[in-house]
Amino acid sequence: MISTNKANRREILRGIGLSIGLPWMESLASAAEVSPDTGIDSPRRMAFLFVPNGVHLPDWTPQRSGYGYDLPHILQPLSKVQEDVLVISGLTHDKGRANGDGPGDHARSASVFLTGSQPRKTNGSDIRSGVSVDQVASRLGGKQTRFSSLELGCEPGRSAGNCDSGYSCAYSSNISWSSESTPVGKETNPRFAFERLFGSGTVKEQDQQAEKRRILKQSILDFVLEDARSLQARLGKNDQQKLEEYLTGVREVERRIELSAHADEQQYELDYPVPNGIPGDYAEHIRLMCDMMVLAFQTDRTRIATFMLADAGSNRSYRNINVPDGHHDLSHHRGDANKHAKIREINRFHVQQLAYFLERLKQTKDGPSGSLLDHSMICYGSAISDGDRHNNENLPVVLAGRGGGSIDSGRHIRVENETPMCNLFMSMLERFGTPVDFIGDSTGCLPSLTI
Amino acid sequence: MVRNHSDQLMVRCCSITFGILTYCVLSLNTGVVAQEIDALAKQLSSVDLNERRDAAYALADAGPEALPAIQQLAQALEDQDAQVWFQSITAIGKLGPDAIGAAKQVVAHLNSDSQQRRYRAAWCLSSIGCKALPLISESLTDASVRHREAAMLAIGSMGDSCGEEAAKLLGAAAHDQNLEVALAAVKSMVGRKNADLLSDVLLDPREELIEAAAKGLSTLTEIPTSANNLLIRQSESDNVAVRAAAISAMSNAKIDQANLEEILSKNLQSAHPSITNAVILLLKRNQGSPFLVHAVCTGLQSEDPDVRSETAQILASSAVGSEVAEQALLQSLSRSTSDTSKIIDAITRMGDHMAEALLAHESQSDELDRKLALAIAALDQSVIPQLLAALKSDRSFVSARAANALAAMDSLTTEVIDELVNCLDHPIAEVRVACLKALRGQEKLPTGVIDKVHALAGSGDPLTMMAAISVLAQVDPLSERSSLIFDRVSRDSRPELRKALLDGMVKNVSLVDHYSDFLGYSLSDPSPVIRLAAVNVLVSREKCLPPFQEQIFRLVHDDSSEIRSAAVEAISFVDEKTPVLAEQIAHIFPIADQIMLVQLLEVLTQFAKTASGQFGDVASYLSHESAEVRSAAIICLTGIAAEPIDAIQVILPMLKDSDGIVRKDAAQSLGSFESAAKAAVPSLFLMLQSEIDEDAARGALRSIDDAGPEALDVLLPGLDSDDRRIRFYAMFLIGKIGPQAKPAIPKLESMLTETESGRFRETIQQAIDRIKSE
Repeated sequence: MISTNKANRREILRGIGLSIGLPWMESLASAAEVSPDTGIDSPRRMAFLFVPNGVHLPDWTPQRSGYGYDLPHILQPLSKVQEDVLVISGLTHDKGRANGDGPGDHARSASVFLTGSQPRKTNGSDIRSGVSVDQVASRLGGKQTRFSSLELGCEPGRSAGNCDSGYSCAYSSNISWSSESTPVGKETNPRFAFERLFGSGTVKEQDQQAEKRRILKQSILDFVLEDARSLQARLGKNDQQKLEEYLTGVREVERRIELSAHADEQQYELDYPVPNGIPGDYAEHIRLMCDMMVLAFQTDRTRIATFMLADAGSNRSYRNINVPDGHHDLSHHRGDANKHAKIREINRFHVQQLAYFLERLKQTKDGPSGSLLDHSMICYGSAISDGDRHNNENLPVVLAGRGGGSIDSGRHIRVENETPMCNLFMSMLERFGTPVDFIGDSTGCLPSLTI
Repeated sequence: MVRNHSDQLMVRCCSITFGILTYCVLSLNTGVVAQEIDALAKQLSSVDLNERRDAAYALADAGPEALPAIQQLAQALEDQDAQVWFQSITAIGKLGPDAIGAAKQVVAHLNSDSQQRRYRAAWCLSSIGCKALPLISESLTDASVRHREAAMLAIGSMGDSCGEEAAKLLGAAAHDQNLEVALAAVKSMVGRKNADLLSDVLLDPREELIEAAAKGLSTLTEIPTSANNLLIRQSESDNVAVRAAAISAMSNAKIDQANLEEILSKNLQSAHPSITNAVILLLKRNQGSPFLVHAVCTGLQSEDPDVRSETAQILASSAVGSEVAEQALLQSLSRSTSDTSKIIDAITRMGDHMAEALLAHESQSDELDRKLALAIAALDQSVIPQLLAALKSDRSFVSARAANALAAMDSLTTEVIDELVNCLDHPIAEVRVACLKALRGQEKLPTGVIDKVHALAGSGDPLTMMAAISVLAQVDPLSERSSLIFDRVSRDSRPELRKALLDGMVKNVSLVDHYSDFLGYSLSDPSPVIRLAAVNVLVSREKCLPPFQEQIFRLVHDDSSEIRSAAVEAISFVDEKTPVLAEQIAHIFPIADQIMLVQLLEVLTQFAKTASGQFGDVASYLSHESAEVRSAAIICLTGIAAEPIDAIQVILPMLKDSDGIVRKDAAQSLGSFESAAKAAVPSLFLMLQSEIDEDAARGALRSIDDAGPEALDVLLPGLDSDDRRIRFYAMFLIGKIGPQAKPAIPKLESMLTETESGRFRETIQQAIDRIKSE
């Protein structure tokens, strides 16, 4: 059955326990949607990507401001999407500082990243932070999609206990908070994320169907073939090709997830056991999660996502790029040039994954004009600037995407020192259509997102 | 063209968001009953900080229900705790106009030291709305600058709802003698219906205000006609920022084409990034209007290469798809000589379809040829069919460039390789050479192709022969036929052919064993090109085998600095690092130039203590005029010193060197000696106060992790420093001194009671415990 609920602006292929959202297609859109002059905008999306332990700023910050900025070593992988990226220097997360609460910078850095609120120092159940920007957007604008938001990560972390000098693990493992006392747990297994994204019915039904597919070694596409054939007949030539490409893309992601289920043999390279369904290769894990966000945006399953590439203070080693040392250990570099060199390679590796995500968004057409990236705002960064100093000013931040034409991207901007990071969130929420008067410690919008 | 309607709304919203829009969106209105509100109101004055915080959070969540607690909330604005303060003012703001009873207390916080508090107070007043306007207006008499600034923010945030009265206050403040206040007023005008307020500011003599007003106008979809002429005038300002803001604003103004053309042509004469950015914006907002693009293209005719580069940057960023821009860039490439990189970059950014034009561009220099081939190679792989067709072009330079572009591409398909092989029969040597170069990157080639390459290696044309030798060295190094060719080449009188064989040895190490004699006599060849190529073979292998060592030491005295440098690098690969060899290296010092001296010191560092006999020689370079040499000497001494104390004594004075990098290297070297270098603590501690030296000093102090009593005089005043970090290191290091730091006890104990930071308390307590430990 094909659902034609225009409110969702996306048709859906259905099978038992399945519903595959479709990308925007001209043949199925209303006349108003097809014409770029009618003022009907494609929806805007936002995602927030967190990296821990700060970055090596000398290899991050462009020398030139404005358009045509240089790309230092760490940002070099963004060259193909440079015109869509705004590098922002000078933002601060004041509430990531101790402010009388003593050590625990890493836990604070994650909890403050999207909330801008000082977390209560506790390792008990009385945790308190603030509502995060994604959840503000989700609460105000998330009802139009099946999922109000999507929370992803690569490290499962712990939800309780003492993780950093008296701060609960809930602070260091989460960046998304639906209320002051409720972190939103993240999904770290691509298989589960995929099944939730394309499943329908109750969670139990979805799990049963997923298990059945696994036993029969069938793709989810096998279950919606009939729907797909009937849809093909209604599509123009271009859209037929687009549907084919899209379904091939979904199958490819599914195949990669299957491959990760057989990743046991790779695990000798890791420092810790990895659950079935999580790729042994970290880059592949990140990329699968990025694909999940692209599919979710493309099919309008959600318009809001968060993704922790690693938890706060992560000491993961990066053998895949010949850096066997722990990331956190390295971040306390004490000015050692060798450690700087390794840190910048880790930072660059993370940015390579961001580039993959952005390029995928850019390649994905969205609506009558433009790409997903044109209609998105992707905020990437860390709430610690230098991993050794644990400082929270001049944070490494990029904002990618044109926000539906509301951002003059392709520039490097320097904001005034101590400008709250939350001012960026204010501006993003404005552009997302969910304006607020303040969030966290904001003191206004960031006027420089436009010239 | 102007931005669409939704963008206009967005920009306005971004300027003004306070007020009725969304003030309750974050509230979790839990429907708390009146008794609970009363209890929470009382709890706001509890002596327990956590209780006060909990009450403030709950009241902020309660939204309008918290009205009965308004008095206590207003009092809570005097609480010393930041969280109580922020939640209380949030709770007041969420009451909206009903909170007018607390407005007076809120107004007082417009003068807070903290920007965040001033902002939140302004938000709160804007939530209360127009009723608070008289109170704000009264407070402006004799108010501080920051108070007046925050007041403007509050008034601006009330939007148009407070009518003329608010507009009058903003208009008056825009003429405030204090620039900051006037700026705050101008910024608060952005987004109001009455854009004339902003236009009026364009007449103010203060450039900062004009810039802010022009920026404000640039956020509008339509600019009042009254502002047009003023913007034109400001586009001729001496101040670059004003000019840039005026040009940005013009993107939404109705300015006739002749004027705009003149403005652009005048402004493009200066290669300033702000102007570049403004023009890019102008073009982007006008979606690359052909008229504007044409006007911008005039910048490509400038005599100034920087202007040409900036113009190319503008076109690449905002005129993709414009044929006018493409043609102008190509013409500019023909005229340019020195600044071709930026123009080529701009051409490639116009799209893959530019491959044809890049292929066909007639170049006068090898350098430009190379750049063009690389630029084509950087395009999408979809241009490959075009390149294959170009291999058969009548114009040899086109075929050669296509082959060179293919050579620079990452991986080649079988089809491409076949075409390149066909090209080996090309009548023009240049094309054959380019095709051979393209094949050089392949690991394997079919036998038939190798036969062809063998034949070309004996073709008689030196360029073709060199390229063929290079291919054979990689793909067929040890066959009988190749060996015959290489033997012949090794005896050939033409140095370029012998060099091709040596270069082949760099790419394929297996050749070194087979032609070691040739390598040996090449090291003494009369041609410097050959000597350098021979040394590079050893360097690339990272081995300096014993049979060649004597020759390499001789080459350290070579006439060519490049050979000398390569020879020193080769010495660093000598396996057995003996004292004799170290002495030989030190003997070269007196004849070495600065670059070579640094290299030699780096090589000697690898000898570690084996070179301790050269300690004195190296130490003498600590006073060398070159900072690089001094740095290299410090690092070398650290490595070769027989005892740490020897190095510490001579490196310590280097902490006062005039060069920052030398000081950094000295600090790091001392840090590597850990506790043995504690004599360096006073100097390192003083370095903490310098922004340049801070990082290095901090790293060294952490590594040394110790201090002696002689440091006390320097550390004690550090306890009173305004800089938190200096205070921290002072207390941390005083603790390391131990019982001999008793004079610091009273100060440390008073700091213990005063500090709020847990980390500081912990460090102070540890210091006190250590000092009292006897």
